[in-house]
Amino acid sequence: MGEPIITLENVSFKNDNYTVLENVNVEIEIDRFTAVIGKSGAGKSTLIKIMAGLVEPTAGNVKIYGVDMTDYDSPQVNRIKKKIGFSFQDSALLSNLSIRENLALPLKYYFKNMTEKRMTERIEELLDKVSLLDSQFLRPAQLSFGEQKLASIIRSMTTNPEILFLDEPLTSIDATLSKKVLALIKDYSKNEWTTVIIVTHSPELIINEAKKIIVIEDKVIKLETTPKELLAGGRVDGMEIVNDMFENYF
Amino acid sequence: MKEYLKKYIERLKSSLSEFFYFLGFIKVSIQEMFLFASRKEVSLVVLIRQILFTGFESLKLITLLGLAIGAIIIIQGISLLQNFGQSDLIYTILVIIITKELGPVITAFIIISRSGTAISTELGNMVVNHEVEALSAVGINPIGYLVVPRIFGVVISLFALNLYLNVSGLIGGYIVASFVTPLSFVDFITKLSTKMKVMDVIMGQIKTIVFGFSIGIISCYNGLSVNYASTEVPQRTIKSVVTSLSWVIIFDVMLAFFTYSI
Repeated sequence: MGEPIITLENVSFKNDNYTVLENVNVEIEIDRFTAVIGKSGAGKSTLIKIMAGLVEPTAGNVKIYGVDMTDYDSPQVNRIKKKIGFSFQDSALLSNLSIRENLALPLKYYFKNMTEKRMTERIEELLDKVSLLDSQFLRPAQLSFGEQKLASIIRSMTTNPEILFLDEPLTSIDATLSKKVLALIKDYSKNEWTTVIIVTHSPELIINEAKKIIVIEDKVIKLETTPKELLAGGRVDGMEIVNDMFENYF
Repeated sequence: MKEYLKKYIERLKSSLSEFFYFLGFIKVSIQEMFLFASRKEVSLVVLIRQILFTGFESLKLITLLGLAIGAIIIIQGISLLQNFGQSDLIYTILVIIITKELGPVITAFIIISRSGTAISTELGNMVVNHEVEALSAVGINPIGYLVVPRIFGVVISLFALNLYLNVSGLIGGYIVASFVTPLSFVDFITKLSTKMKVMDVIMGQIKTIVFGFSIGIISCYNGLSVNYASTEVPQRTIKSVVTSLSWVIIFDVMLAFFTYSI
């Protein structure tokens, strides 16, 4: 077991009067590839947004590297945020900026002393990996949804964050783009200093890459396991999503 | 009756909580304004775009309005004041209306209708498209990046546009005055300058700073208050316009009382 870098203690989240998560306790370890799975609308995206400090829980504590992420005024929180990368389910690129400007934004913000040349190198290196170099001066709306998603994923990686959150990176993209995304994620998670937390419906990615699986159902974490344990144990009673997802692997 | 009271108290609670939230928003925005210089690499482009949109692109409309107001004051004023043999009072009226009172308010109204609505709509749509959330995700403070440059942009533009409205209003006045009574430009400027005090110009410009800050912060707050749906965007924009107009009028009255009491 690695050292926990993210700790959620008794976390609950209510959206207006609707309870999304209730009394969630979980720890994410360093250098782990953690997959979060669950039915649509189970609260997976909310959970990783809370983990990343993007959404404030209605109750409970969220700590990253031991720092309380709900203390927004703390300079420590800002320091931690620099170590986080987040790719959204929809691309969420800034529509009035070009793809290149979107990627440059976090670099300019964090690395004030970074030279223009170094910045260009970094951006072009990432764009080249996903074959988006020719589209770098286009606005997000001029790209297909899949390409926007790719751009969003590489934007989350521009600053080389230690903790990378990916919300359904393989959804709504074709097989060719999926391959590129998979290669990119695998490549990134190989680094010793990275911790990847991914929401996905891809059993292949989970079995080959994940070191930990978190299953959310009925507003709570129903299961924490590893791919090895899961496959060895076979079908799980009453856990439809797990049984359907790994049907071909049991 | 009990039910009505309960609902009324709940509404009051929610209004109070939104008011305190707004005060907190103002506090954070002011704090972030002091940090603007240290983040100018990222926010300067947003500021320049805002000044171009709010200031530069409003120049034609402001010129037209300035010329029209100056001309109307002269046409109406001279015909009336000549009856009392007080034609020279027109210069005082011109200064009071254009420089001190109406100029800053009219400029503020133009900014509210053009830029205040644009700011609320743009920020509202950014919230709906998760762009604001994405900024937070890459660690960029949305208030520092989105709100502060817009407030500065509106304040700087309003300040400059009001000076421009003053010049075009007074020139408009001269053009019409020269039709009514043959008057040299030098004479016009000399008479005008004897009636115009430095304090009048300063007060007018102080108003633009107060109005600019209010419009900027109200428009940004309402834009960022959109929650989930794009249908909330026009509702928030309307709220932003009404609130901005109300506060500009309230501040104008307060500053007028303050000016006349010193």
